[in-house]
Amino acid sequence: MKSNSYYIKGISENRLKVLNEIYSDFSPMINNLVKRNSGNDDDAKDVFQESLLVIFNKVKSNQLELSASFSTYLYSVARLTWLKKLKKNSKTKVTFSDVEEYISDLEEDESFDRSEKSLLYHYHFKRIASECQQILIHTFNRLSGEEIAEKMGYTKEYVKRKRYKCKSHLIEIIQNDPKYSEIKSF
Amino acid sequence: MIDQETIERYLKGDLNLTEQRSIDAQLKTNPKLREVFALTEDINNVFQNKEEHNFIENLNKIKYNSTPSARSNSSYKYIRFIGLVGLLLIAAATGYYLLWPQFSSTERIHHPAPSKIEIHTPTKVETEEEHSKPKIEFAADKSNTSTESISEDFNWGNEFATIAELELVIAQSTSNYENDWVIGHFPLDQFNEFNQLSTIAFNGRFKTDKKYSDRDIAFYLFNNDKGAYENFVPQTTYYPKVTQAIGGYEINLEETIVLEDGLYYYLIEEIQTEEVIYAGKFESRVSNLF
Repeated sequence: MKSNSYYIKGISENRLKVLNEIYSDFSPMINNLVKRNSGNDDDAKDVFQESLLVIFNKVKSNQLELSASFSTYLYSVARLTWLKKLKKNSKTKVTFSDVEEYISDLEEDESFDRSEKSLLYHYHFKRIASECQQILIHTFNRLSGEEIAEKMGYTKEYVKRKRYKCKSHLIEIIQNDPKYSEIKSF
Repeated sequence: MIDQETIERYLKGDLNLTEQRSIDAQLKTNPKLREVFALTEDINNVFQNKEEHNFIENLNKIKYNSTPSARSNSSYKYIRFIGLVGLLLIAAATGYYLLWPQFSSTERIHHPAPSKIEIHTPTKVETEEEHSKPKIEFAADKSNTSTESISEDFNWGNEFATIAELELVIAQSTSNYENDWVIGHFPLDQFNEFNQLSTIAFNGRFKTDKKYSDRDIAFYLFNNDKGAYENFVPQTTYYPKVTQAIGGYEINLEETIVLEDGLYYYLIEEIQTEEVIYAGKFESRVSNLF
């Protein structure tokens, strides 16, 4: 049996090995939770990702204090994530009859929406051309046009023109995603 | 419409007072514009968080690579068996295709290595019969830019749908130049079809009084995503080799790329002026043989 700190440290340090272990240890639990409540395998995977991202951000902002097992906490986060999704989609009225721990604390938590947005943005980021991804990543890392041009072997003018076009394209495909309409807060 | 550069400069506080006030006024009355500004800022915030970005990268690795339960069940074994049989069929069909004399032609790719690629001679005009051959698609020749002529009876999916704007660019660019342009696209070797690894080879000449070097001209490759073209976000960009020829320049390109099945457009542009020197298209149908 792995300890709470093993999982939390692994998440905090973004260790793929630990994330894979969390997946193999707890994905059946989350699958079961989602599928028992009108969801499918893809929904369960989304819930799993979002839940881990919520926990990651809580760990990073020192907002996580576990008073029960990691699995209980993960389950609570996953359950609330799925509940929020169901509410947004208005698929069905859902009530969970099991563990209530943490739920009241988490209900008003903005990090759920934040995580959902981040994952959506990243999903679309992966869909744009790899050249665009590279230019934008350098831009997000605050490299100047000149530095990007040098790194990628382009001209400065090309990088300048390209990075705005790439960004504009990314924004457009995000806006065209129906999921975005559900989660946007502005 | 406010362009992306102005949005970014506004968010950074780089605009002068007059420009800033003008945008503030528009933001007050235009909710769609407000949304674009807010989304731009939100995207910047999300992607500037490197730690979160790296974490999501790892989450995606789990999501797509780790399915232990599926691999151990009997249906997976069944699928694997089907895959093996499929592989054998592919190998047999490939052998048939390579060895049967009726398929041999000057366009035939005999060698998997890129260095041994055969490119059309610029003056050659392909026949309808040659075009309909499996595995190799050449459609850039100005006398043959219509994909409909290649295979009217094939039930194309959306990935082969044309983009009207680009069709127009092709028509205009091909009428501007007298010389022949050729593009070749074919898989590197038969077994790489699973990855759809292909080589794009391009050769062409154009007349001009201007002076060019390698980095002055770009080769933009688009799939048939209209939005990508409208925003000018090509799938990839190459810088072809540009060499001086009589009365103009010769352009040569040979690159390896993974191409999904579909229709692809390419623009050869002068980078500085964004002037289209030549435009064309070709189809990738590497998995269509079987």
